[in-house]
Amino acid sequence: MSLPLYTFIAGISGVLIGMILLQIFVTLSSKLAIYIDSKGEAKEK
Amino acid sequence: MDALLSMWSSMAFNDLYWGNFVMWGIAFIFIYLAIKKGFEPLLLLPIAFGILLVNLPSDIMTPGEGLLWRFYHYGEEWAVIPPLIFLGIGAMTDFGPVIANPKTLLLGAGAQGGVYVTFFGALAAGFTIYEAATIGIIGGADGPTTIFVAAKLAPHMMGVCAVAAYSYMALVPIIQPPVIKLLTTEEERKIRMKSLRKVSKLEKIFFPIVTCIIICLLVPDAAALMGMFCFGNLLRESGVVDRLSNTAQNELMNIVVIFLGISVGATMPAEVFLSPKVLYVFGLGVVAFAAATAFGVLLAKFMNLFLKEKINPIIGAAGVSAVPMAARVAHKVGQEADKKNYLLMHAMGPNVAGVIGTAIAAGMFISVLK
Amino acid sequence: MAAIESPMSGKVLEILVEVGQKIAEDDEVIILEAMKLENPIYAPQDGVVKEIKVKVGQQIAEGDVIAELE
Repeated sequence: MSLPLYTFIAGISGVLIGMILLQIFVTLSSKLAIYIDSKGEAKEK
Repeated sequence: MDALLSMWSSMAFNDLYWGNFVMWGIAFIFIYLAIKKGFEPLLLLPIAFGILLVNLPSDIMTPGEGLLWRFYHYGEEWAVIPPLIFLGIGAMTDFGPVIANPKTLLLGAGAQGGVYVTFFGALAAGFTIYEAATIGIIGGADGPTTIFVAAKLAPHMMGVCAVAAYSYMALVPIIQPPVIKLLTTEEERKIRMKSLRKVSKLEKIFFPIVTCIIICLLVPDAAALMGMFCFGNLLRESGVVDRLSNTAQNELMNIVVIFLGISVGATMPAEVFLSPKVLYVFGLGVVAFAAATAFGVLLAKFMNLFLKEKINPIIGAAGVSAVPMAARVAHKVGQEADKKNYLLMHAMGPNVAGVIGTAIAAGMFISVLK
Repeated sequence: MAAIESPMSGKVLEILVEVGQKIAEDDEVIILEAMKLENPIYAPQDGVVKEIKVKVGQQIAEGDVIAELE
């Protein structure tokens, strides 16, 4: 395929995949953070 | 008599041509816009002065010798300055709204559609693929990223694209509202969004680390920009290095912006700037911003088809990473539909996500085209 | 009695009502500064201002009570 088309497809998929991956991992890391915090609070109690 | 002639020839008057006068005029207009009208003065004023300086014939931009050339070479050609600006921006950015509602990351992706519309538009206008990519990134509404891409792909376009990017960023309040209103119904604009949950400190510490790892692995060519961005953000959120965070946000930013502005301006001597291509770039710039706004809004509307809790599509426009201007515009447009709808913090989510989106788009261009 | 809660976080720039004042829905109650933007906050309902719970210059968060109405 032509270079411009390839550039476009690579670019847009890179952005979308990047954002989707980021969304997944940010959600996971947030859950982890909340879990760690709640464990901390449980210990204090 | 000879002495007088040699004195005359050592002065610069002889080397001026009509193009220089035009550039002086442009520099004066920018200085006026910056000082009197408050158009992005932090950047426009140094850029304007750089334009003036480089159009006063001297050695100041001679490769290997000139003062401004050295700023340009070490700062831009070596792509050191844009990542340093991102360090400062990362230290200034609160990712709470994004972490509270990670779906907004997708809105940061949507607005990058404007980049590709502009990319093809530039190709159609006859620019090389490297130039087209640089012009396209203007649609990301991110000055440092535009300069970064220009440095890697099309250095001769740097000045023009940077000026276009910053000029249109100042015009965001004019360009965006009509596009938003065209693509949404009043009902949609009235959508109220649930308050953002509170985000814990630990979440805010994880975010830059996770983002850095994922983006740098996925798009290594964006590592310089995103790495520094995440570093700055971690400095801010860790809470234990406030003096570093403050320096990054203030002194460092100020120093870097000074060097950036004046050296970018100095890449615009008359010979480079006064070509019809420049008009195309400015024309495509409007297209870029309008298209980015449109894609952001449309993506929000598309997402709403699948969501129980609807997103107000106006905030899709904030995916255009002019922070916080686009968020403010989204807020104001929302208030026109419903005075009591306070969209500002919701719009900040896509707004800062857009910075990440543009950096990814930039990295992809570089990785494919370098 | 009802409480006017802040719909967003920001710094209180101006308080536009006083205790005892009768206000109507959509009247401007305070002005908050956020993201370098001045945001008027509007009353969610009619009432008489019983107590103002914030001061000028105070940084408030979303959900904080601005004033109490009756």
